[in-house]
Amino acid sequence: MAFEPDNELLQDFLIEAGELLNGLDEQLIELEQSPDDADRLNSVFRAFHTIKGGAGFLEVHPLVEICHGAEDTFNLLRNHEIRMNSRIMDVMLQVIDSLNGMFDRLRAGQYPESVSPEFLKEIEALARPEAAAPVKPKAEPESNPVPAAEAAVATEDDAFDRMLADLDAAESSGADSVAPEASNAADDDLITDDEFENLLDELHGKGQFQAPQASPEAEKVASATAESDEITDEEFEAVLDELYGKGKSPTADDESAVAPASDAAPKAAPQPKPPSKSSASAGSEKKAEPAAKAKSPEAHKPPVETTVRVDTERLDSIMNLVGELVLVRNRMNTLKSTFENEEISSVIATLDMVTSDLQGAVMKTRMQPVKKVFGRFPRVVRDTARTLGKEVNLELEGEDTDLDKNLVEALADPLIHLVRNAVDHGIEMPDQREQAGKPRAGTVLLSAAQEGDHIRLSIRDDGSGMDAEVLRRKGVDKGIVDPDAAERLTDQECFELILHPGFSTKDQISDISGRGVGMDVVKTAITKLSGTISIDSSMGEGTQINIKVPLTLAILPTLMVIVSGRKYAVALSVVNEIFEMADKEINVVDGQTTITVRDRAVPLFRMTDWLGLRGEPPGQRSETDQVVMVQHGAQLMALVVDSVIGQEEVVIKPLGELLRIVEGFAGATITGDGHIALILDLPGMVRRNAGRGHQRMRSVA
Amino acid sequence: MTEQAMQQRQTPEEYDEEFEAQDKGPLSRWVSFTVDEEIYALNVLDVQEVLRDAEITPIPGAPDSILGIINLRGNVVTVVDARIFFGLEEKKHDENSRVMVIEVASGEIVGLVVDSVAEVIAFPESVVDQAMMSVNDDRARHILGIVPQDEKLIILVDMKSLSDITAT
Repeated sequence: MAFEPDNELLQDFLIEAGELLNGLDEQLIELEQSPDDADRLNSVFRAFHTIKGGAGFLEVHPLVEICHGAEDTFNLLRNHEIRMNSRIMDVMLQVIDSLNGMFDRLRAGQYPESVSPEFLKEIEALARPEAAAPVKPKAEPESNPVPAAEAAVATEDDAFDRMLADLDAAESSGADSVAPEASNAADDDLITDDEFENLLDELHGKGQFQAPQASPEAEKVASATAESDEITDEEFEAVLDELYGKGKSPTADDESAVAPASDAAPKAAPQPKPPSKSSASAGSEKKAEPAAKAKSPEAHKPPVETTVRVDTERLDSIMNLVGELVLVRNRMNTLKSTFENEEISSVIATLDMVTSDLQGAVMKTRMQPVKKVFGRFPRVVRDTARTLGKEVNLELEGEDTDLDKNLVEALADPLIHLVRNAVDHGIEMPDQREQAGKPRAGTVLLSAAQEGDHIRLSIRDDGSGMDAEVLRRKGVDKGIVDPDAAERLTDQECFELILHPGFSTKDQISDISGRGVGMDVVKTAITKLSGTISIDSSMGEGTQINIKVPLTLAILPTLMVIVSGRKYAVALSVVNEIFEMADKEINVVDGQTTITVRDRAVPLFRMTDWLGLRGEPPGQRSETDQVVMVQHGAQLMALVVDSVIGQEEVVIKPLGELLRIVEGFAGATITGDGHIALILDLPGMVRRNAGRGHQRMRSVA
Repeated sequence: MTEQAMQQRQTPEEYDEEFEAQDKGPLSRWVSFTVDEEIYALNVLDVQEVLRDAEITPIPGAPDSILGIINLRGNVVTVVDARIFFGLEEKKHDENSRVMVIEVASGEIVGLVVDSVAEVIAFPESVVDQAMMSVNDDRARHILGIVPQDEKLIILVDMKSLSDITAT
């Protein structure tokens, strides 16, 4: 029964253990708040244990080593033999960082390097001081090939094989033959021994092996323990499958095999009875029996598995296909009017409806709670605050808000940046806060909420806020705005100056509580997601940054326009208004054509010029020309097009590699009539035409 | 639908029987096409399909060698002009013009507009091997070799590096 850790197993491990690892960060931070939370200690312990088990299967020894140390420490913690302190916490967070590093290497297909022996010693030292009496120092699993129990967290193939052999032996000759052997190991390793016994109990209790010893009582115990440790029957069955080489998910195996066992360990520990028919089972049986009675209905009727893990690539391709269907639907709708047949019309109407529903349903499958990103922030805030010597509380709101998977990923970096900035530049030092009559600890509130077809994310701090005047001055100094234009800027426009690429340099950080560090990068990232970012701040009270992003990126609402006989799509999110050119006043100011809209001069650009197509000279108006007013950052721009067709939802098709040097297009789409329309990328278009001297920030006002 | 109906797909399988009969050992099949009176050939394995008629949407601001993009059954495919690619004079496309859909090294699907697509020809592999030459001239790096056929010379080309050439 060979167990080859092939690629698929590794991938499964990376996904599942990776999720555990992500959760660990957050849990550790919470533990710092409430160090005696037994449930949490247990779950951290289990997480380390599970990762260790999986790594053992895959023979990734560096992972095993480090998890082993962490696991020992948490074992002592949850048994109240030692108490959580900041030293342990710091080391554990380092452990998480090392684990993350190792996971990255594994993902890249490389074998991770061991952590330094000093660090390992440091980890082990945590478990030592008070640990002397009840717990003997433990040997490294891989260096100790003796007990069968060790195999429960198997680190070597042969150890695992031996366990399988033992299990097989147990199957034929009963638990009695194995239990002594397992108990012999008790001196050696308190946890794994019990784990193994428990595992055996479960395996037998389950009756899946048709072992004659699988008494109904044992079965009850097994399922009861499983239940009480929140391990579902399917997971358990996965263990069985795994052991017999049928299953595919090693981590599901570890989780279920190990978790209940580890929980049972403390119960069984105080009774070092002579090898009898599994003392652990006797111990846990007593405890488990009430639970078994209470839960027996579910325990005996395993719930049906309700989730399926799907590769995101497959989801993407489904999304693409649905996108195609939407396009066909649009085409059908266009054609509908050409048939004067009621039946066809009603069929098309049904198709229309079903397609819309399907589109919504598929979109939902790609939704993920924003929690996935938010989960990282407790750690970010803690680390940043610690480094700076600040006291900061992080509050999270609306973590369950769902948004498109791609967005969740794309938002992670900008948000981390903003949160870090809020702690770094927003929140003042504790003493300073006290002087200002605020609590010593600052608060950063991170919230998410759905608003129609958008998600609003906001990061609010109760720090010192930003000074619009200082920003205004800086803006002028940096040459971002003209002095006279700067005078006309509203406070909000001043705050938004920090989003400008030229604004971020080192000295702002010390001079003012501005957030100049790479804010333009954040802005660019948000714009790429067709989102908007706005800043509000008041001196002494704090700053709030709002981000609005669409629910999904797959389908883009656009405005279709015609320029020189061809269709182009402009993202609807940047379109402010549409009007006829004919009845507006046009002037040329300083070489720049402007159009006056409600007493406001807006720079005017002809799309034909922008696209490098031949057209009439600028300023010359045609009766039918229409103007689309768009928002580019803080700036309004008026684009002259031949005509406006209307709104259309499009699926973005990226342009090929050959066209990556061409700026100004976000992609192409296939329109309702089967033709291709290019989707304009406004920032790219502006860059592309920047050489012509059209683009200056002078018209911010 | 109408557009797709006009797209003609030529599969090498149609020619299989003809060549199987000739028994000249393993054959390698090439799709021959003409650009400016010259006959070129691409390995059939590199050619996905040949389009008779495709509506090309130009990309404002793209390099001259890129004619634009087409809608290939819902996928957007970049189309390159073989004439400009080979350094020849531009010529208006006529009813003989074809778009050869090929896969380049990056995995991208690209359309290559040629003057006409002639046929699938098969050479014994030995002939192709002999024709293979190592070219140091950078301009000729997409030429694999030259095979004489019916008093004409057929230039075997490799379009895999298309993406590097047009991008620079």
